[in-house]
Amino acid sequence: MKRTNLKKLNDAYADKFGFSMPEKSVLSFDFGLSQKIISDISTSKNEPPWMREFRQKSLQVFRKMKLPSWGPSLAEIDFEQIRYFIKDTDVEKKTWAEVPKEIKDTFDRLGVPQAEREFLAGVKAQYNSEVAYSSLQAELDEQGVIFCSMEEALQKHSDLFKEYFGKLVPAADNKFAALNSAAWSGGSFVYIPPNTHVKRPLQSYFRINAARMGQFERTLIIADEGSSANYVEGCTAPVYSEYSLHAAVVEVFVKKNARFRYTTIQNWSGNIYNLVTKRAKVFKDGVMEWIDGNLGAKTTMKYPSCYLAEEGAYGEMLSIAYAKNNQIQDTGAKMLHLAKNTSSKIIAKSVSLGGGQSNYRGLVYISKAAVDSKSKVECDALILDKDSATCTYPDMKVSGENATMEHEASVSEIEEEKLFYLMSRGLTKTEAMTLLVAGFIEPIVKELPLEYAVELNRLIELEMEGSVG
Amino acid sequence: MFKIKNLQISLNKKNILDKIDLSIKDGDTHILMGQNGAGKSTLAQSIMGNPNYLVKGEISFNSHDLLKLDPQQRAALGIFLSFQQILEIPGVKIYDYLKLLYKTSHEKKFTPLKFKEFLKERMAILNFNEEFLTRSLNYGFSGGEKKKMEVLQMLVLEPKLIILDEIDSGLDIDAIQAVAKAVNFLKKEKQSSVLLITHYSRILSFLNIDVVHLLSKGKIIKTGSNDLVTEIEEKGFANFLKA
Amino acid sequence: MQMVLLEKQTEFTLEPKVDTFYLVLLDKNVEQGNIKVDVSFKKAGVSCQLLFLGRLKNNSSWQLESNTRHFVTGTSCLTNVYLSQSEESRVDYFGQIYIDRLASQTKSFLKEQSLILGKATYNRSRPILEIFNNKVKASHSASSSRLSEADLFYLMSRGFKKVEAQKILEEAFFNKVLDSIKVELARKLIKDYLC
Repeated sequence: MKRTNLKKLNDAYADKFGFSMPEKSVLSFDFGLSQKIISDISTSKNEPPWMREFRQKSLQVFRKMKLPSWGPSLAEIDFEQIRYFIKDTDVEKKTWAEVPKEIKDTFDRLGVPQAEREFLAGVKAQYNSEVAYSSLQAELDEQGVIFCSMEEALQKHSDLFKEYFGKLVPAADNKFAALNSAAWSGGSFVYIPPNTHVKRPLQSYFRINAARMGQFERTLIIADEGSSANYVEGCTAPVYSEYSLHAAVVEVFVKKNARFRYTTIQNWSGNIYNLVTKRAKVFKDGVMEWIDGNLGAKTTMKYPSCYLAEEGAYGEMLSIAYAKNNQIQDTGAKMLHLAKNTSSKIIAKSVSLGGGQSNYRGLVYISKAAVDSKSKVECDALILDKDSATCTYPDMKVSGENATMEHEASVSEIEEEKLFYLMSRGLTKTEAMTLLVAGFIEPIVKELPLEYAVELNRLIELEMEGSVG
Repeated sequence: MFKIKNLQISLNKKNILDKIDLSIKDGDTHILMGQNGAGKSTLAQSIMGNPNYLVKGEISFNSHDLLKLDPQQRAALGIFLSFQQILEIPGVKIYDYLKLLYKTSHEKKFTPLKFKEFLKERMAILNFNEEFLTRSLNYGFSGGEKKKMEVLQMLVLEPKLIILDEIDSGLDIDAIQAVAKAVNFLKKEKQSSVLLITHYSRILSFLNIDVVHLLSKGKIIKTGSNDLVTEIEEKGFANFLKA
Repeated sequence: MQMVLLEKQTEFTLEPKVDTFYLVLLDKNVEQGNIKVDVSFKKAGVSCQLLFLGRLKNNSSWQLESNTRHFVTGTSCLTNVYLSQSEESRVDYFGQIYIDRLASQTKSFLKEQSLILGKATYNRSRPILEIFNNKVKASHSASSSRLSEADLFYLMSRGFKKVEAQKILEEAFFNKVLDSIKVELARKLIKDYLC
C-alpha cells in the first residue's frame, strides 16, 4: 500500500478542516498498550472493579486475535506507536462560558455557530477522548431522557449500563472491538424511556488531535419500548503525517415498537484508519435505521448491522461512500433475520475517483426461523476515471420458508450525453459532473438533517474541484 | 450574426450533412424543415458541439469560431439548444438547477428574492406550476412536460441564438402557444435570433418568420420565405425532392 | 453465435475466440453436484453468454461457480443462473465478474434467479463485482422467491390440482429465460431438459 502524500490534499480543505490545536494536555500517557496503561485509564475514571476486569480481559483477547484475513490491508498499523488516552480538561464542563477558549475555537472552525444551539437538543463534544462540553436542555431532562458521556453513565446509571454494555458486541467479536473494549474512552450513553419521542436530533462531535492518537469512543444506546429518537454524529479531524487509528464500537438496543435512527457523516483526514463496529438489536416490531456517509479517512471498514431478533423487526441501511486519492472505503451492512416476518433494506451508493477504491461488503442472512421475511439490497457504484475502482462482495444466505430476497448492483460512469446536455447549458465540465454526482447520491442525502446535507454537498463540491480533468 | 459555411458532418465515417451554407442575421427567425432522417437534429447537435460528430467547415457566431470551443464555451457566447431527445437526470432538483443556470449566465451574486421574481415571471409564460420546482430534472415527466422544461431553461438563460429542435412535436395547442409566447418574449427582450427545426407548421402561425430552409438527405435544397411553408403544406415534401 | 454444451466435467476453463453461447444443464438425477466455469476474455470484441439451468430435485445439493474475467477491450458477457429448488435442496452459488484496468468498453452482466418450491431449502448466493476500469457497464442481480399464492389460487380455481398448478408455474418461470435465448440448438436442449 502506498503512503499517502498528504501535501497533495486539497489546500482549501486542509485550510478549513486540517488544522491542529497545540497540545495542551493535562494528563498524558505514553505510547503503546499495556495492562498498566489499561489499569491507569480505569483508575483515572474511577471505574468499578467489573469494568477494570472487563478491560483487562479484553486486552488479553486483543493480543490473541489476528487481523481480519479479508478486506483492505491494515498491516501498517503499529499498535505500539499510538497514545491511548489524553484528557484535556479535568472536569466536565456544564456551561458554555467555562469551556476553554481553544476548544471553543475548535467548534468555531468546525462551523458550529452559537446560534445553532437553540436547534440542538443537547450537544456533547469530545476533545481528545473525553467529553469536554455537555449541555442538557430542560426538554430532555423533563422527558427523562438520559444523554451523557459513557463515563458519567457508568457512575450515575450503573445498573442500566451494566445490563447492556458489551452484550451486543463482545470483545471477541473482532480485533478492533477487543481493542476498544480494553481502551475505550468517551462516547455517548443514550437512554430513551418507554413511549418517549425525542423530536430534535441528539448530536455529538469529536476529534482526534494528538499524532498517533487512537480514538476509541464507545457508544451505548437504549431505546425503550415504544420510544423514538434520532442520533447524529459528524466529525472532522486534522491532517497529520503519521497514522492515526479510530476504532469505535456502537451498540444500539431498539426495544419493542421503538424507532431509532443513527446518522453518521465521517470526514476524517486522509491519514486515519477508521475501523468501526456498529450493531443494533431490534426487538418485536422495532425499526432501526443506519444512515452512513463515508467521505474521509485513509481506510474505512464499517458494516453497520442489525440483528432482527423478534417478529416484525425492520432494519435499514442507507450509505454513501466517496473514495478519492487512494482512499479505500470498504463499507457495507449486515442484516441478520432471526425471527419471522422481519424485513431489511440496504441502499449503498458509492463514488470513486482520483485513484480511490470503494467496496461494498454485505451479508444478508435469513435463518430457518425467519419465515415470511423479506430483504432488498441495492448497490450502485459510479467510477469517474480510469485510476479508480469499485468492488462488490455480497453474501446472501436464505433458509427461511417463504422468504423473498432481492439484490441488485450496478457499476457505471457518468454518461457523455448527460455531460454534453449540462455543458450545453453553460455549466463547466466540473460543475456538470458535480451536479450529476450530487444527483446520484441524492436519495440518501435527503434523509440527512439539513445542515449535514448542506455540509456534505459542499464537501463534495470542494473535493471534485481540481480532480476532474 | 450566425454563419455556417461549407459544413460537412459525419458520424462513424458516414456522411450525414454536406455543403451546408446558412446565415442568420441578428434578431431573425429561420425555419429548417425536412423529413425524418434528413439530418436536422445532427445539424442542431453539432452547432452545440456534440462530441460524437466529426465536423468540417466553418461555424461562427459574432465572429467567434465555434469549432474551437467546447459546449460550455458555446453556451457562454449565448447559444442555446433545446434537445429533441431529452434525458432524465434524477436527483437534481429543478429549482437548484435553474439557479445554477442563472448564475452561469447572469451575475454571480444575487438575492434569492430577485431570482424567485425572475423565475416566477418566466414560469407564468409557460403556465408552469410552482410545485415543479421541487421535482427532479425531467424525471418522470411526460414528453410535453420535458419540452416545456427545455423552454423554461431557455427563459432562464436568455440566449442570443436559440436553436429549437422539434420543440413542438408532442405538444397540444396550448403548450405550443406557450412556447411561441416564450420565444417571442426573448425576441423582444434580447433581440434573439432563432433557428426553429420542425416538420409540422402549427407553431409557425404564432411566430414572425424571416427565412425558411428545406433540408433533404443532408443538403439544403431550397431556401425561401414564409410562402415556402405553405407550399410544403399543400404539396408535401416529396414534391420538392423531385426537383 | 455458436453453442457449446458444457457437460461430463466439473471444471471448465474457457477462452472464447468467437461469440459463443455456453450452456450448463444441471443433472436432474444427482444428489450432489458441483460445477465451476471460468471464462477469460483475452480476444477483443468477443461476446458470449453463459447459462446455468437446473431443476434441483428433493434433497439435492449443488455448488456452482462462475468466473467471468475481462482482460481486453470491447468484450461482453451475459451470465444467467436459473434454478428451481425442490424440498430440502441446497444451492451455493459464487459468481465473479472481473474487469481489468485495461478492459475498457466491457459490458458484463450477471443475473441469478431461484424459484423456491419447497419449505426447507437453502440458497446461498455471492455474486461479486471487481471493476477496475471506468468505461464499462456492469451489473448483477440475484433474487429468490416462491411461487405466487395468487397465481396458484387462480389456476386451482380453474380446476388444476395443486401439484399441477405448481408445475405450470414452474414451467412459466423457465419459459421466461427460454424466450430470451436466440440460439435454436440451446432452446431445443433446454426444452428437452425441462420435460
